[in-house]
Amino acid sequence: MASVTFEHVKKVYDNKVEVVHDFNLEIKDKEFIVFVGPSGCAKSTTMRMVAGLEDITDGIIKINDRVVNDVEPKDRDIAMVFQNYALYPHITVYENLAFSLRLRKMKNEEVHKKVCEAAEILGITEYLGRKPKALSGGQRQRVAIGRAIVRDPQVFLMDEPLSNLDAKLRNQMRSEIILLRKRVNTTFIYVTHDQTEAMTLGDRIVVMKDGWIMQVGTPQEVFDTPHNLFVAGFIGSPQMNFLKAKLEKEGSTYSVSLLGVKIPLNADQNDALAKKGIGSQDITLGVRPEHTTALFDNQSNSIECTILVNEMMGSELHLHLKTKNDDNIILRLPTIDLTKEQRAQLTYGNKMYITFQAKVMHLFDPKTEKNLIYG
Amino acid sequence: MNTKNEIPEVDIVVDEKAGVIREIKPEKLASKKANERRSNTIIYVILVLMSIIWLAPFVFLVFQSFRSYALEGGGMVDYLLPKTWSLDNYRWLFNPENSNFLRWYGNTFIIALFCSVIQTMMILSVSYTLSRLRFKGRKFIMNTVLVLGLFPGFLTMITLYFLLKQLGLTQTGAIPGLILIYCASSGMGYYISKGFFDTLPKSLDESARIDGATRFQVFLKIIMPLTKPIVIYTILMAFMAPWGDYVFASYVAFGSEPNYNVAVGLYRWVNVADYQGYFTRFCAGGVLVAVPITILFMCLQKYYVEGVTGGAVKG
Repeated sequence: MASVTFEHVKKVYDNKVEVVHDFNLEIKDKEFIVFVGPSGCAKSTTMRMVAGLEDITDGIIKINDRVVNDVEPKDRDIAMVFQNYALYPHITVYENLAFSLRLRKMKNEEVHKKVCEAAEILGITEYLGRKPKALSGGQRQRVAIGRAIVRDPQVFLMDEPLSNLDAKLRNQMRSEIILLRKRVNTTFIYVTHDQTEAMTLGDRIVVMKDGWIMQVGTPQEVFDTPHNLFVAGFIGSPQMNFLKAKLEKEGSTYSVSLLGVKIPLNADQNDALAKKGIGSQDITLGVRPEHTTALFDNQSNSIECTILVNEMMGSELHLHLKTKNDDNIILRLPTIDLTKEQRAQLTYGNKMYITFQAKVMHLFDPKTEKNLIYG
Repeated sequence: MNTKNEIPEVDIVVDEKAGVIREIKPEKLASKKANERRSNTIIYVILVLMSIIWLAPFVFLVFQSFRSYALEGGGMVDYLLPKTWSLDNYRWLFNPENSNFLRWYGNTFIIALFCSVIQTMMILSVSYTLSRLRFKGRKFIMNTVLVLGLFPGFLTMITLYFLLKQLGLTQTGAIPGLILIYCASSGMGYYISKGFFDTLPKSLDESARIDGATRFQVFLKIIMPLTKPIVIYTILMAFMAPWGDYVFASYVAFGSEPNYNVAVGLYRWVNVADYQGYFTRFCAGGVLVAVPITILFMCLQKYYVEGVTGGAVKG
């Protein structure tokens, strides 16, 4: 069991490209941490530095207070699951699982016991005699995980382990990883580009972009109080709607005005903005689709939009709208609440009205892209 | 796939894309078959001709080696089939009182054996290093080796000779000298095996290293078993080159007959010694030289073909 600490970690490749900039993070013992971000955000590189597969250009990485910068991967007591499984194709599943134990010169009976135990946990006992070629994608993934758990590592690293699986299997394996985590109970670092995986698996999420940490927090924190436009847009599906708006200060109260509508902020928001000494300014207003209320007729303080696309998702509709300012808006409509007439109305070009409450609004500075309240 | 499967035996085929059963007219099918037969015939005639041309010298060599020395002499004759078949020439070769043949054969075998071990180790380790490790000057080394490899090896003959002479590795020291020459630059022949190693995903190495293997264990337990064809190909090549070498062997051992390799020794029989007396013995020697190589190839040809073509496609 171990903690992992990053102190001012940098990674510069030979061609002088800096891919990880001043990375600071403390991962607590037994924590499940997820690095999430779009491709090219250096999340894998950061994890590979923990594994020892990439050199650390600057700064230090500690596992359990031991600086591991110059420690060989084999001496770091970590296990890793690769995206392409990286099973040894020439030996059986049993030998794949036993490989690391045999290298540690473990006795045969003990190897057998551990391999059977891991196989039992993952439900791969019947495939132990097969070669990896004779397994399906999901089974291979299990073997890859099994190879990691036989060793009782201090830190468990997973590099996009589910991205080679189809959608259904991915969901299944995701819940299996949650169960596995309960059984193994060690420190996990999990890399993914999929925000659903990040939200469902992580104790804390590290949202990354271009080698910078954008925000670290629990899934709920990251969802509720995104520190900047990037996190707001990346976490949540469909993504948050962004609208051009104005923040207006009158006396000690603030309000947001857009498209002729004025929404006064609540007391908490007023206090937070006042404390930061923020005056009237242009803002980017963020509202999540699930927090946007759709109206079929014009009411006071509602914003007029035109329907662009209507996506049927089964239990709900995703409605793509356009405001008069040309801002695109997506909102979710539960189909069960809709009458037949209302459904008929949801076609291209028709008018629709939206409204939202002050408490669900996120205010971002358009220049710094930071959240005016939390950033 | 065998050719039988490619020729449709039935005149109805299922077109899966369109989901219909499509009929092929019998006459069309017949003409297709005839066409195929014609082109196959032409190809086979050409191949047979080529193999006759290619095999003729070998057949001649084998026939001559079995000609009776006692009745027909040991020289060149103007007929192909021996009038009397006998093992005279072989018997003569195997008697150490007659010639140094067995000694030469042994010399060559020792050189080839050492070379195949040392060269294989060198080539494989250089290839693995260049394929897997990233270090300063890697590209430069690869390019330099490529350029150096364009010059024929015997350009360095004179320099090498004097260097070896200083070290006492010519004439009586010819065997270790030759092993040194053959092995010294063997790492330069890394291209094929590096190409093969490159096709193995790097994550296999990484995974094994995390599992607790050293670089050498990764090479031994993961990479080697997966690249068996190329390892065997490398051993085969490393054995064959010194087995048949004449150029280097002839000048390094020059003047010290017991230290010749078999190619040099045999050549000197027909060139310097009594040409008419030694020709059939030369042929018998040639046949004996071909024996181990032939056996090696027959046992390992499956891997050899995989090894040569394997690097290009997928491992």
